[in-house]
Amino acid sequence: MLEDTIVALATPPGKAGVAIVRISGSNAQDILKAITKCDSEFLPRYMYLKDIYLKDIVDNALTVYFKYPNSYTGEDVVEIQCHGGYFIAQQVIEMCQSLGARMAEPGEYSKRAFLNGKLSFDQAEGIIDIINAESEAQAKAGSALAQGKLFDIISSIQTELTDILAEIEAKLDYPEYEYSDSDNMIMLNRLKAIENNLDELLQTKISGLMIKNGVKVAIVGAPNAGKSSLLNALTNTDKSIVTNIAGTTRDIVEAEYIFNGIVFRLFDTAGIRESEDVVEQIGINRAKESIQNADIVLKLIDLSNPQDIKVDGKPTITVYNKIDLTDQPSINNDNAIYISAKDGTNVENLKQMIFDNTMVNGYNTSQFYLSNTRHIECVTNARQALNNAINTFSTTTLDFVVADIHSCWQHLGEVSGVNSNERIIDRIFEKFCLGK
Amino acid sequence: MNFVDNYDAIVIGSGHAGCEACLALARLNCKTLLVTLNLDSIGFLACNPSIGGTAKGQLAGEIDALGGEMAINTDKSLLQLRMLNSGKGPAVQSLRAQVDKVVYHTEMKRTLERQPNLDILQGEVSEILVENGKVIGISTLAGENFKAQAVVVCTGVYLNSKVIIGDYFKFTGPNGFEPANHLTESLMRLGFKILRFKTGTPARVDAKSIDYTKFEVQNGDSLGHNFSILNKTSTKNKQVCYLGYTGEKMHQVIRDNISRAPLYSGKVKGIGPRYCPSIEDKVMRFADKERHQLFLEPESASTDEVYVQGISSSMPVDVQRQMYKSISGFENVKIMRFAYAIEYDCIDATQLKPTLESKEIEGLFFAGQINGTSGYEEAGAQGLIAGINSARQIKGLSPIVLGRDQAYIGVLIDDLVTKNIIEPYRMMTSRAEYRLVLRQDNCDIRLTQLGRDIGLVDDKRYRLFKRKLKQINEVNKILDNRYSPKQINEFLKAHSENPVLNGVTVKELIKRNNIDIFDLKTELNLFNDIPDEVLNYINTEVKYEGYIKRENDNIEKSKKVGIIPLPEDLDYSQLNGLRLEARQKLNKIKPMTLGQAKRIDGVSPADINVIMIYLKMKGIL
Repeated sequence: MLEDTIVALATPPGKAGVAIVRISGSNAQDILKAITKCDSEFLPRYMYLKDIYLKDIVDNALTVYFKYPNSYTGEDVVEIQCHGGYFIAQQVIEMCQSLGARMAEPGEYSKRAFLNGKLSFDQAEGIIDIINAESEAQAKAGSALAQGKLFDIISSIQTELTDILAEIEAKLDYPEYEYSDSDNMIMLNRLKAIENNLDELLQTKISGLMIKNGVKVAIVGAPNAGKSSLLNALTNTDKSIVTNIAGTTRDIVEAEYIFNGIVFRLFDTAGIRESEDVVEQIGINRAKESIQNADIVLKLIDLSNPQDIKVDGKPTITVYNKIDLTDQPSINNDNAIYISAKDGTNVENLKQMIFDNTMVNGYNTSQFYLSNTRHIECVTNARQALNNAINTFSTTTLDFVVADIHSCWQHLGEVSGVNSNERIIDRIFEKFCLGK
Repeated sequence: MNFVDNYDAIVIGSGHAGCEACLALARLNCKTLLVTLNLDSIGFLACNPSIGGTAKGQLAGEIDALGGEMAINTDKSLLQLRMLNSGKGPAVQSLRAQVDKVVYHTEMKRTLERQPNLDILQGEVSEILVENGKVIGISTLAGENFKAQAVVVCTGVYLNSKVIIGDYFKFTGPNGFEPANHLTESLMRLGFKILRFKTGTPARVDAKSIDYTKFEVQNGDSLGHNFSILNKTSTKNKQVCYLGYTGEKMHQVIRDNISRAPLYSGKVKGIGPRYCPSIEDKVMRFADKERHQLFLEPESASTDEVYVQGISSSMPVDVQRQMYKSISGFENVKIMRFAYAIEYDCIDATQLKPTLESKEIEGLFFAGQINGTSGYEEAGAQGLIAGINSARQIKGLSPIVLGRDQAYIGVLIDDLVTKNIIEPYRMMTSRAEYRLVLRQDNCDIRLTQLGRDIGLVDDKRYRLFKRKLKQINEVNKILDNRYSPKQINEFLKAHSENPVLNGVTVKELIKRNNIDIFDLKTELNLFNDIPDEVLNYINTEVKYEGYIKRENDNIEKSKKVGIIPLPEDLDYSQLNGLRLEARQKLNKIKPMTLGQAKRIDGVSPADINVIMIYLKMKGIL
């Protein structure tokens, strides 16, 4: 009955060696096949080590398929044990969504398990508590958001949409009345303005996820360019805790520091195992992969022995190290800085520069950033629906165009909690003088 | 207690709900009695001389498709027919008819009189007789008792009705018809919660006193059909309407006298509809609007009375005279009947099941304005469903509940029994979340088979329906036919469409923006034997295939949960885990399905989860 497929992170979010993404529903195995680019059937209850193909990267993960009814939920279930940390798990979830799964609601796995007879009656009461507790937490989170920027942004977009919908609906329901309101071009421009607002909101998603999960900073440079010194300089000058966390097999998180309330995670890359017998090519490949995963790259160049390294397609800051050993002129610009990792010269400025270059939307604590996957899903869907409306506005009759605008409004309502059709009808009568 | 006669069912009231209800009952072979205050009020159009309009045209079309009478009677009394919204797309196109209100009444009365199994009696019902929670009949004020297994209450605006014109008021029904002054008490004794609603109507003026040169003519449309699908002849428009405007002069009269308006002085207590505001309300609330539209509609071919749509009022008569005369073209106008407001009793329809039967009293059904609606079509639709369901109960058959995805009638009744209605409820297309599939052009496709199964669709209607299905089938067969580039590119060019390289199907051609099915008919010589009505339907289905498919997907999705039945005796206050507000609301409404529960304001998705878990525990799910 509830066979639509849901996905969620099964392990607690945050730093860990392994993250488990769980998919439940009739499409679970199809999604597994698609994400692994694997045509053959997965045998139930067997572990498979597979490459999983994500948007930006390919990860290597343990996958397992449970065939209904022999699973936790009693439906087809797939678990993907990917590398830990939020970034990869997030990409796995997003990929599952693009393959047709939707984000699970609070308590939904347990609910399905119960409805499919996998949990006993005794446990039912407990599940009700879980659902209630989670929905209460959600309600609380909702009210916290209500005072925040996101709610304001969504509400004001919904208010504008309500206004537009009321205008269109009034015309559809009361065709005999004259309207002294905007014509179609103005209406279209208003829709485009809303689309821009949604785009702006969606752009904060990148910063939002960075704020939540930390900014990934890759350091590349020739051996002896001073990467360790730079790591120490960046972390020691701050009193933050230095940890050594094994993140993925590809990237070694050397350390992290906090600047302006944001966690910056440093990844050392090429030449990381500096033994002479490691083939140079391997190092270069690893560097390339790390660079791909990074939000920003620090290209470290030893002024006393300059060796340039090519970095493509990522925001990059060129860091000239060891100004204490040279008399060369040191002129900083937007993406180049002269420092001394050894004595700490300009290290704070470097941090500011990293911050400015990654928080592209001018991060400030009063602005809201989209970081919740469900919110991102809703806003993305809303934007898609609005985009359909805009694209068909001039070629399709209003009754069908408005269906997409309604859909946009509904998706936003899933974030703001404002979902009642009555609001639009109320607005029609507030705004227009209609009726016999 | 002595009973004069024993019926299967009794219908109280002969307005648009009562007429459909008693006809449905009698046609479904129930021995039926119609009791009405006045036989001259059968099928009386107390307000506009008009049937249909946006969303209402669909309602009337659905009544027609199910085998009801409203559209047929409209055609018998037709003065003008229009298709509204023809430029705005198929989902919101609606038929609207101007009708002769005298003919409408006499034709409806004749239809009732000729209906086998139906007796008609003038009289006032004073009491609904109930024994052991089950209806057993009625008593009239004149002292007679009639026995019945089912009673359908369709009292319209007649319960304790009060007409208000300025400082003057009178306890009377519309048009001087007697009010029903006793039935409310009987309903209260039976435990019904009574609400007081209000509506209004404009003045009727003498056509001879109007300077029509100051108005703009509104012609009917030349359509290839009439209102009822049974009536395949072309429309004969017999009369025109006129469009005019109020102006500053009239608005000043209203502002100068606003303290004498009952709505502002507090003399009217009933809750009026926002979509039917009086002109004084419009002028006060929309002060920056320089003019308001008004429409002149002929009341009948047999009278000079003209209905002035747009300026209903409850101002005192002297103010009304000044107001009307200050309208351009009305300088010498003679008012024949003054505008008035009317207050009346109705029930809280959440006390009803979606079958329109009372939750508490078996065999007692309600339909029409007594349930808090407004409009002839809304009333007729409920009357039909109450008639059908009372008949089915008598015959021991399961009730009929139309879904929100199936008909505007389904949206209407579901809203009435689920939502907290605080003003007279008017149907609008924007109330229907699935309106892309609830169109005027597919009423019969959606409902006629059901009407046949119920037993209301006669052989003629069913034959026409079957023929239409066959024609649709024929057209569908050639939708995949292909044209080569050589055959079709000239045609595409002529319609400013891009040429094709590898050929194109008929279906793909219809989907093009600048081409419709009728272009294919005239220029490519296709579909020659297919009537326009069928082509029109297919044109919509093909052109908007993507939207319609998405709508159907949404319907399927919400159905999964929507159709799960809930036990009638479920006590939600005992359901551990439901929030307090949800417990109260659910216990008040007692939803029939999980889908209905979901639509109750104040019931959250988490509450629905709790109910589902409960159902599972009880082995119901």
